[in-house]
Amino acid sequence: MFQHPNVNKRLENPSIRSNEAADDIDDLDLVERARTGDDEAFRALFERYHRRAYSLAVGVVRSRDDALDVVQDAFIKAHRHIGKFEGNSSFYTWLYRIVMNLAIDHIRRTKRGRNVEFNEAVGHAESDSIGEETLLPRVLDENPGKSLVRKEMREHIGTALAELSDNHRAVLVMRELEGLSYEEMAQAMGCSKGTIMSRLFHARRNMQKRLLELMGGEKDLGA
Amino acid sequence: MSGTGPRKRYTDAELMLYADGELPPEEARGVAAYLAEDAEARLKLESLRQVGEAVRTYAELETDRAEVEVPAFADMWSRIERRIHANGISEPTPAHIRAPAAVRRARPVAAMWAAMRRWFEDHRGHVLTSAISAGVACAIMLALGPSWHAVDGGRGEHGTSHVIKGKLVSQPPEVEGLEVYEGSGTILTLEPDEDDDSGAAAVIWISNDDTDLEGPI
Repeated sequence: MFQHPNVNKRLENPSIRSNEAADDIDDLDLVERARTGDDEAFRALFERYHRRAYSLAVGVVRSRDDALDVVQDAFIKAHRHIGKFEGNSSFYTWLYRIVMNLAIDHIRRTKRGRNVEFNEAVGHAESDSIGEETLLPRVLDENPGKSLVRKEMREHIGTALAELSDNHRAVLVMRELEGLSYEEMAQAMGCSKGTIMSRLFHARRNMQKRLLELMGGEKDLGA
Repeated sequence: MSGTGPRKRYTDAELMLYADGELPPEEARGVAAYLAEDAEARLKLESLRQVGEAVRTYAELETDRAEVEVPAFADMWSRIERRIHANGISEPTPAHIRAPAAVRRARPVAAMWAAMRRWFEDHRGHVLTSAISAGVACAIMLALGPSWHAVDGGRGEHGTSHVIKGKLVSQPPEVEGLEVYEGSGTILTLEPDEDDDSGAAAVIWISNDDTDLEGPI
């Protein structure tokens, strides 16, 4: 039976590097120390996760400056409320929720009247409008990882992401960077799982379409 | 799945749900079998993986760029540290995890300012409304002076409003709070003297509460 390797499962090893491997001290130890006023311990947590937090924020809000603000505010909020962290999840899981809430608040406050969404409330049945739309064939042929590091590719992907609506981009980033489930994303965005599914479907399809256009019909982007 | 009859075709949406691990096990097995036989469906699934790869690669490259090209990125910790100390560190934590006594003694003033700041942030809308209301009340009192004019609240003859002559009221205006949709308000009622039959005057001040940033997009 066909088993597709590792498609969009929760990311155990996210591509965004954290500095966690830099030392052996457990996150929970650092959290305990930070709770008692140890600023160095909190700084160690910052060093481990600020890159990953920034990646998430910049994917959602797009602007570098805004992403920096979101990350800064997230760490300040985490520091302020660290006494309430119960350790039921990992520190980063707790932190990314703060980052996402702040990023979503940000796009909510700055929401522009563009990118009107459609088919927000479809279900899963074959007769739904989403079922009549198709995903495109592959954007890349071979070695996508190698070709994607090219500057041109980064710009293309950035352009395609920027043209998504804020909500479409938010779910795509949450899914692809953090591997959140539909339920978790629905909770984060205050909407139904069906809406999340619809947003994700259209976000992916629009990304594929736009990337194909930007690449001028080329399929093989291998270097 | 039996070998007889046409195999079910799955929609692209269902392929996506399968790829995201959102299908029930029984249905996921059906999709897996379908994928094993349908090259086009496998291609579509691969395209989903590539979009994910593109997003992750973009985020990583953007972060690399920011680290190198944006000075504010490298300086982020020092700004966070400054703001942490300016805000007086954290909210009160439970007793069993509080900082050592020496640490607590070192920060009483900062903690007091932090508490005041947090209280103000939480009640900003009400504080501003109250301050504006008080200002309006003072302005009315000063403007009316000893020979004030009051506006009848629509209780004149035939229901029309008219301006009446009045005298300085001896008692201060009565102030009441008012809850309105997505905001709050204040009612200032000026009672006339007993020998004045012109009725009371009221000022209603309504403001939107714009401090609530929680909730869905």
